[in-house]
Formats: sequence, structure tokens, C-alpha cells
Amino acid sequence: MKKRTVYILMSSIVALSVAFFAAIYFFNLESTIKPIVAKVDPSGPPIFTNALYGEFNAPLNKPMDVTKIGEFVYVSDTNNKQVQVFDQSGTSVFKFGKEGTKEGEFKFPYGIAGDKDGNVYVADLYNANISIFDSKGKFLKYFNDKEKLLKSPGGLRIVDKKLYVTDIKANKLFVFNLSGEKLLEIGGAGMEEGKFIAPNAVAVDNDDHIYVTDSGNNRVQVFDKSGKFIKIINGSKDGKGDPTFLNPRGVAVDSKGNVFVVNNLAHNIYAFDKNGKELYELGGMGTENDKLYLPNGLFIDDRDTLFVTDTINQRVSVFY
Amino acid sequence: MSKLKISVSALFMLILLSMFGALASAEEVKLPSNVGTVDNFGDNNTHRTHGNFQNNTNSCANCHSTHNGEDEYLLMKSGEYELCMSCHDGTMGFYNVKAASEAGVMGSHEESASMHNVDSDLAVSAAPGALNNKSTAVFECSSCHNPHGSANDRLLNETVAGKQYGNNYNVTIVGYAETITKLNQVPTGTKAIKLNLVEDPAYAAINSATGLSGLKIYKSNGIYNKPADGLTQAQVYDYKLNYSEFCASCHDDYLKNRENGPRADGVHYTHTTNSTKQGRSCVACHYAHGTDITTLRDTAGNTIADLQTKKGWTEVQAKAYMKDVSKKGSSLKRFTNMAVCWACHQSTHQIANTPGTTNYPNTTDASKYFVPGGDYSGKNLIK
Repeated sequence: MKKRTVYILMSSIVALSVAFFAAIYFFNLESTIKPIVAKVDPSGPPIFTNALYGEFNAPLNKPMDVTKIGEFVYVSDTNNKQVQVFDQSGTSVFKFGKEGTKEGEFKFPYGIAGDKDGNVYVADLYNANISIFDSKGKFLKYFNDKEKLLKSPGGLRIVDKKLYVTDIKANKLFVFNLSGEKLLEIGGAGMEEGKFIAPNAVAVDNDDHIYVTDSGNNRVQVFDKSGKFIKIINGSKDGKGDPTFLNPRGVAVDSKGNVFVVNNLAHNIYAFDKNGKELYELGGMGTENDKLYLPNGLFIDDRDTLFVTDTINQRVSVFY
Repeated sequence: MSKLKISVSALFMLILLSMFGALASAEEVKLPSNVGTVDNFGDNNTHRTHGNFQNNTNSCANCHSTHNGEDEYLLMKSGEYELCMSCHDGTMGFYNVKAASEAGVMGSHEESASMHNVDSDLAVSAAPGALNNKSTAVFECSSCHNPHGSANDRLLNETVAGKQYGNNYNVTIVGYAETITKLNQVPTGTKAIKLNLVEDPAYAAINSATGLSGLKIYKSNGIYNKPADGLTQAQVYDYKLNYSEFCASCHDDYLKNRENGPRADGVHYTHTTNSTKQGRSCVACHYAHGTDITTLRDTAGNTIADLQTKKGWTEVQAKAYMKDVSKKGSSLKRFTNMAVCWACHQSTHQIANTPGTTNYPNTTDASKYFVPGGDYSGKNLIK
């Protein structure tokens, strides 16, 4: 090969690389590129990466739910009646809340979610309210439930400026806008489609489908954005057979539309694809790194990282 | 083929298709149900969780370890309380043991709290009044409740601390004298304790829902004091006496009656704890689970919530009034301090000519023997 040809080849490689990275830089494509680069095996099950324990002397006690707001992980540390905040490496950064019924206090902090401004919403099952804190844990106000509908708020998620909350005693799911007006109500006690017994968690996918964990009926029900029943996921084929779920709790959907359901009494997480076909199970009872012991809350972030609260092991396990 | 033939067969196909479609959509959607609708007694099965495990159950391993058990039942040592509390903490909506009920409260951090501490590795034999109870077991939820199911209401164990406590009795009451004779032991699998359970109006939505294979949420009103709900007097006596025997499986030295005179053991005088009469069973004065400042009452039967609404007291004021100051703590009592005695005894035998009473020293008018502000109307709350 002629020297000249080699030079041309080499400089064209350089030129192409520069053009590639320049394009990424000028068109702000980092965020779209990153997940693709970071994913090792996009089709395989997530792998345990680390756990958030909190301080040695002040560990989590019955963590019930978890969410990521900005770069911090917020955990409802239920038996300690507080919220513990972790950075991504698992260091407990700060905590807020104490036992009580007044502003900034909790009796049973449960569902936890963040809005676009980084404010933290915490549902209290016993106090029957949702407290709003700033990202540093300063109490701002109670969520203005205008019709005073909430009796025992449990699962809580905020998606596209809509607040989704399950009411466990009322056996209902409510959807509010952030100023507290009710947009949608689904449920009532029962076993039929669209009815619940003790709904504990809620998730919303990219198609605005609503997933509600119907713990007492051992199933997850899926609704469209207008609240119309679509299907049941309960571990059986088509969701029409006997459930394999045992006290299902946290539910979350990843970017591919895969649905993850925490199976509290079986100590695992079931994953289903978009069509409801079972993909794999994570966890299993135990105290080792990738095991779970009475897991409850589940959150999946925008990079498809799974955060699951592992109540007896007093940690939040991270799967990626 | 003629156009007619084609269109006729197309029409025929359409008809067939719609028929199949109609059939398919009419096919009954099988709703998930994990248990039968009739229990071992031929009654409606209202209890779908404990016992009645599914054919594909994975629940055994919650408590039992096949290869690494800590005892002969292959039980795992830790995690029982947490396991029970994964549902009974309020996240199932009903049967929340942390909310006040006829059994009192569990896991309270409020003032004046005392509880059956099922999460503290206490030995069963550490029970106050344990004399013959030499159990080496650790005190857990399952010390009193059987998660596999029980013939007794509220899944109360048929055997406690190794003792099968249930009996049938012959009760004769003549005037104040009550003679209780044990007839025979209640065989295993037969109800020894029946509580006054009613469908809980707070869960009317669940109780009236269809298709739940009979799931009902009950509220307990405690032991029966008199025949009701089709029970005979003899049954009511049996169920009531067995409840005290149940508690006394662990607290055996506290089970006393007056068959042998006021000194049951020949040495000490004691309050009767296993009589059929009002105020003379364990649960007349004590809660089964525990108590705290929110469940304690005064002689009038008021809780701190009542005092705030009825008398307009502040929460601080009400708590300071209701606080249990006993050295040994509130002892799972239904009434604060010794108001539990006062509620019964002062109201029936007002002490005449006592300084502080409204008409002291004039004692002629019996209706004015009350301490100023005194109210003993809580007596009717004592079972």
C-alpha cells in the first residue's frame, strides 16, 4: 500500500471520529447515547450491583418504598418514621422526619415520589396524608387533597405532573393533578376486574398505561390512561389462571415495557415482557447479596436500574 | 364459480366467525381464587390466607428451613414478627395489629405503652406469674396464634406453651357462690375459644363484595358475657373460662378462683381471674396485645381522644391525666393506673363519710357520696 493511501485512510478515520463526537456534542445527543453504551447485555436479567444500607449505627428499619429524584435515592424508612436519602454509591447523605402526626412527622411513611422540581412527596398510611418536602427535606406543605379523599395512602408515583396514589383501605387508585384536583378514580372493594383488595403500589409506563398491584387479590391490574381495564398479570398464562403471586407489592416498568413485580412472601421479583410473558425472576429468599427477604417497594430509574427495598435485610438492593 | 356462490360462502363464513367470536367472548373468565369456599366445619370459609395453602405454595419457606432449621419443626429463628407484620402492619388495610382494637395495640411507641413483646427474643417462661411454665421457646406471634389455622377464633392456638388448655366445665351459681368443675378436655380441632365477632362495618365494602369466596372482615367485641348468637349459657361459660386458661398457659400462677376460699393457694389472697362473672377474667382488665396512652381509659371509660372531644381538653392535658405512673408500667391494662379497680369497685360501694366527697361529713344522702367530678360509668366496659 502506498504511504499516501495510508495517510488518507488514517486522516479520514480522524475526521470521522471528530465529526461523530462533534455531532454528539453539538446536537446534545449524550443522553440518548449513554444508555446504549452503558448497557452490557440489554436482553439479559439485571444483575445485583450494590446495596444501600445506611449508617452502621442507624440502619434502615423496614424500608417500604424507594424512589430516585435527581441523583439521590430517597427511601421511606418506615419503622424509623423517617426518610433516608442516599447518594448513588450508597452513602446515607441525610435523613428527615420523626414519629408524630404534625407537619414533617410520620406514623407510617410509605409511598415516596418526586416531582420535576425535585420536591419529595411522602404518603403516610396512618396519618392519611401526603407530605411535600423540598429536596433537602424541609417540610413545605401537605398535598392538597381537595375532596379529602385519602384515607390510607399507600403506593405513590408522580408521572407527567400527575400524582397516582393507591388508597389501601378504600381499595382505590386515585389520580390527581399536582394542585390536588381528582382526575381519575378506579376501584372499590372486590375481586372483579377493576376492583381491588388492598392496592399497595402503582406504576405508569410510556404508553400511559397504569399498573396497580392488587395485593389482596394476588395480581397486578393494568388500565389505560382513562381507567379502562386492560388485563391482569398474576403469573399465570394470560393472567386468567390461579395466581403465582404471594402478596405482590412494588411494581415498575422499564424503558422496554418490561413489567417487574415484587412478590413479597416469595421474596423475589418477577419480570414479564410487554405481552405478559414471564422473562425471569430476581432474588429469592436469603441474606446474600443478590437475595431478598420480604422485599416490598420497587423503583426503576430512566437507565433501567432497579431499586428494591429489602425489609428484613434492612437495605435497598440495586440491580442493573 | 358464480358470484352468488362466492358471496353466499363469504356470508356463511362471517356468520360462523361471529358465532365463534360470541362463544369465545362469552367464555367465563376464571377469577383467581386460592381456596375453597367451605371450611372444615361445613361453614363458609371466611379465612383465605392462613392454612388453605395453594398447590403451588412457596409460603412454607417463610418460616421453615428444609435443611437449616433451628428446631425440630425446622423453624427459622428470626423474622417471624417481621413476616407477620408484612401484612398486619396496615398494608392489607384490615387486621392491622398496630391500630387499636379489642386486643389493644402492638408495636406502639406512645407514652405508657406496654405490650406482649413478640419481637424481643423474650423466653416464654419469662411471663409474669410463670410457675409451672418452664417453656424454653422464644416468645413470638405464634406463641399465641397458629398461622396454619385453628379451630379457635382469631387463630388462637389450641395448645400454648405445651399445654392443651381447653376444657368443658360444669358451672353452678348459687347467690354469690360459684362452683366450677372441669368435665373433660376439649379435643384438638374443636373450638375452645369463641369470641364475639361481628362483621366490621368499617369494611362493609369488602364484606358486601361478591366473588371474594366469602372473605369477611370481622371486628372482635371480646369474650361473651351472656348467651347470644345461638350460644347456650354452658357454651358461654366454657368459652369464657377457656380464655383465662389460655392466658394462664404461660401466666399460670395468676389463674385463681375462690373454690378453696379467698386464699386460692392457701397463702395469698387474690382477685378471681377465672370466674364466669363480670370483671373476673384476664381480659376484663387487660388487653391481649398491649396498651398505650391512646387505648387507656379512666373510670368513666374516657380515652384521651374522648377527653379532647367531650371536655375540650388539650392533647397535652389529656395525656398528662391519662399517663400511667405505675412503677411496673401499664401492664397491658384497659384502664389507666388502678382505675381498673376503681371503675368496678368504687361505683358499687361508694365509701361513705370520706373527706373529699361532696357531702362530707354529712353521709345521709347516699347519692352524693361521689368524689367531686367522679364518674364511674366505665364499669359497663368491663367484661
